[in-house]
Order: sequence, then structure tokens, then C-alpha cells
Amino acid sequence: MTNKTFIRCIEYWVPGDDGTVLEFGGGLFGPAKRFEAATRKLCFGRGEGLPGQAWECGHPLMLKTLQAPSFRRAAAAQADGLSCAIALPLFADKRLCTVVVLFCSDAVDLAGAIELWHNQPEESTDMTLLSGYYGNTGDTFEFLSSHTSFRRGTGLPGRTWAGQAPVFMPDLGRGSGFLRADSALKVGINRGFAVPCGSTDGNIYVLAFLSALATPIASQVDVWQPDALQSHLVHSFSFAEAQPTAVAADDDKLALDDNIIAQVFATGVPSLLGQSLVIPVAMQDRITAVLAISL
Amino acid sequence: MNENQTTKFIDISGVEQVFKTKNGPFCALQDIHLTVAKGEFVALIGHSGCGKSTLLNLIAGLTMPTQGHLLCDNREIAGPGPDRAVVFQNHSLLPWLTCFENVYLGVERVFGAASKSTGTASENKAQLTQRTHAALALVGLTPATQKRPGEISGGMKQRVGIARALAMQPKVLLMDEPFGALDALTRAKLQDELLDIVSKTRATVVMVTHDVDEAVLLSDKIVMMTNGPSATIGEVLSVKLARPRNRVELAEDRHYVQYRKAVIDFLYTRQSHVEKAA
Repeated sequence: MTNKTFIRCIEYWVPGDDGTVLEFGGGLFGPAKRFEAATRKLCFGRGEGLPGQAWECGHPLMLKTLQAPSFRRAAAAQADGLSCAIALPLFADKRLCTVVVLFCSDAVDLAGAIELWHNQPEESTDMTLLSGYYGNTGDTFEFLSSHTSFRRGTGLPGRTWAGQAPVFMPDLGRGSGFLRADSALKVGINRGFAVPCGSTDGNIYVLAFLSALATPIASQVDVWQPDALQSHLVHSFSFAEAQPTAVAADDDKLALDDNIIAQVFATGVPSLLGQSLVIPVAMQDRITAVLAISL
Repeated sequence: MNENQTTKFIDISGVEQVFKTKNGPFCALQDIHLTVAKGEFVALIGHSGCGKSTLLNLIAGLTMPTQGHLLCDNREIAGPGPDRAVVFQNHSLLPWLTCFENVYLGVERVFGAASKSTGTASENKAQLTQRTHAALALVGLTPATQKRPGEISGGMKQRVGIARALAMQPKVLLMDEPFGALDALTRAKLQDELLDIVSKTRATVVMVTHDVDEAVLLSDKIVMMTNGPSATIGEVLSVKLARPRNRVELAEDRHYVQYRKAVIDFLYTRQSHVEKAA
């Protein structure tokens, strides 16, 4: 595991047997041992803590500072250099499958941003920034993001919205799909990766990660999506720290019943697979893809 | 007026515009959704052929959409009307009439006859004359009232065009590259005057422009359109610069610079392939 990824830890929580609490399901914590130790002891009721609040709200929640009184693991987070978190509840067939929480760091040498975009279909056709964490990227980038809205199919958030599946943009500064290219280049951001998020409020949410060459989003991300017949999962693309662009599909196909990737797709419950965490991606109450993330 | 009517003063929903040509159907616009709030100044920007003027003509009621609908103040736009006044790049003044008479013509048509739909009585000549003088004063042309278009400058002609539009007290002012034919200095002067007029009248404005600085200086919202054919709205940039705006002060405002760069990037980096194709 590299020490310099923008995402520092990932954990997932699953409903207990009686459905009243969220229990720790597993995670990738890397060198954040104190945080991991503090995490394994916890559970959250509906509305409690970040995972519980995301469950209660029914949509993604970003916590831009982990020193907030409501964050139980503040001391451990500070000790391990974690500064921001985003909780993604995932629903399928109207039931909560999991809450995945990603943690990032604002260390001086880390450059990146996380943005949560949303659209309220009954109010507007625009996708606007709901919340953003910009670390050391400076305020120009944040300023433009907060003043830009996207239509379905345009820009990184808009394309993710339209495709209802993860989108990767390998070279933001030169691509034709990134509005904020000029500002991005100035702060060293050159890659974008966005995933659709589940919700129960009828709104559309997209989580976007923007990272720099020196600070990749993760050490590797693989995306699997069902084929047209919904009979297999196809390895859509992957990107890794050492690779300049996403690797095109190598036509790996998995049957929907014989492996961890397929299991995660079927159940909506994440699982550890070696050094990766496999998590489902959902939009509008159905699972549309699976990510395997290594830190 | 309730909040929904205020924020959706112009409501464009699912609009598509397909023209029949000898080479077959040509889709100029598709999937256009746009709302304009009352008192908002919106700039439409994009490369040539992206359907900006087509969209403006749809709002003006000069053409009907193939699909979708357009509402202004909660009423369907079914044709042209004085509630949506248009200012074209070509001022279109009648050369044999004075500035006063050019403006008076529209004023008489709108206010000189009783209106059953609005319940207003017709105005007498003195009232119509007063309206006309007020409109010309608003654009600073009182001294040129009795001059004909051939006797005034390009900038002054465009001011008459603006006065003519404003004299009708429209709900919406639609401007299709109104300063495009003017030199840079005159253009800047008229932009400043338009800022002043809009501030006084609190008009709702939709303006087509190619000028990035003009869009950022004047508008509350910049609607960036993708390249045609089948153009649609790409991104929308909210310009939250305080008003009144002063171009000299804004030249060094970092937010102004950032907005400007974002629009330039959209036009000349991300939508630049239209140039290469040409």
C-alpha cells in the first residue's frame, strides 16, 4: 500500500441482524492503526454518528472536519492524520445494504479534492455542488466548483449522472470534458473519478474525486459493470497509480454467482478481497456497478 | 407573485427545434431546459451555430419549438408580443423616421389602444409622447430626439433600439449580440449604460453574446451551449459579483478573472473542435 493516496482509509458498516444498529463490517486502514482500533469497537444506531446519520438521511454526507463534537473517533483521527470523511449509504430494493465511509487527509503534500454533487429532479435540471473538500488545492478551484452547475451528460458529474456508472477522466487538463481544466492544472489536479451514489430522497448524487499525479486517489481502482444481458459482470476499466490512463476492458467476464465481485453485486454488501475492498455502487435504488479499491 | 413564479419567470422545458431543409431535417437544438428568474440577467454564450439565436427567437416567439414548451410569467409563449422586446445586432431603425418617431411607433402600438387582456385603457397622445421621451432619456439620447438614423452614430442607433424596446415596458428584454457591430470603446460604453439601465428598471434580460468579458461583466448567469448541430446547454456558471459592477475595479478582481477563465476554457478548449472542423 502506498502512503500517499488521497483516500487514506475506507470502512463499511452493515445493518445488524435486528436492523437497529450498524455494525462494523470491515475496512482498509493502512498505517492508521489507532483509528482502526477505535473503529472496531463501535456500532451506530440510526441517526448516530456519521454512518448512522447517513442512514437516517438516506443520502451521502460529507464531514469536512473530523474534529467536530459529533465525531466519536476525533482523537484517533487526529492522531492518524485523517481530516475529512464522506459516508455513502447504499440502498437496493428500498433496504439499506451498507454504509461505506471514506476518509481523506489534508497533509501538506497531498493534493486533491472530493466533491459531492446533487440534482433535485423536481426543482431543476442542473447538478450543483452540495459539498466539497479541497484540501490544499486553494480556493480558486473551490470557487469555480461552487459556481458551476452541470447538465446531465456534461462534465464529470454530469456524465456519471447520465451513465449511472463510474466515470474516469485521466487527463483533466487536456480533456474536453472538464470545465475547470485551467484551474485544475494550476493546482496539479489531473485525474477525476466519479461514482453515482444511492439515496432514498429521490435526488441524484454523484461523488467525484479529483487527484494529482503525486497524490493518486487510490493505488488501484477496478470497475465492474453488468453486461447488456445482465448475465455477467464485465471488467469495464481500471486505473492505477503507475498508469497514465485507464486500462481498457480486458474482457474479463465474471458470472453473477461464483466469486466475491459477483457476491457484492448481488447482495450490496462490501467485502475484502486481498488488499482491496470491493464495494457496490448504486443509483436510484439499484446496484449498477462494483468497485475494487486498493489504497 | 409566488416564489415559484419569481424563480421561473421564463421557463423553458424539453425544447427541441428541428428545421426542415432541402437536405432533410436539421436539429438545431435539443433537450433545452432553462429557467430565468425575474430580474435576472442571463447570457447565452457559445460558438457560431450552437443555436443561441434560435433559442432567443423561441423565447421571443418569433419561431415555435418542434417539441417542448416555453412559458413567460406563467403564460405560454405562443408568438411575439410586447412583453418580450427584442434588440437585434442590426438596429433595424426606420431610416425615414426620427429617433423619436422610431420609438413612438412601438409605444403607440402597445399603449395607444385599449387592451382587453390587461384591462388597460388606451393612452392619449400626450401620455404616449411622455413615454417616448422618457425612454430616450433613459438611454441618454434626448439631444438627438429629432435626428434621423443617418445623422447619428452606430452606438446611438443601438441606443435607439434599446429605447424602443424598453419603451414598451417589456417583461423580458431579449438582446441578440446587441453590441456586436460596434467598435470596442463604444461597445464598452454601451455595456456600462446597459448595466445602469438594468439596475434602474430591474429588467429581466436574456442576451446572446460571443464576448466573454461582456458575459461576465453583465450577467448573473452564463449559459454555455455545446456546439451544434443538436446543440444543448452544457454548463451554467453563476456569476456572483456584487452589483453595481464597475469594469475598472473588476479588471483586477480575482473572482472576475476566474469566471472569465472558466468561460474561455469552455469555449476555446473544450468546445474548440468546431474550429478545427471548419
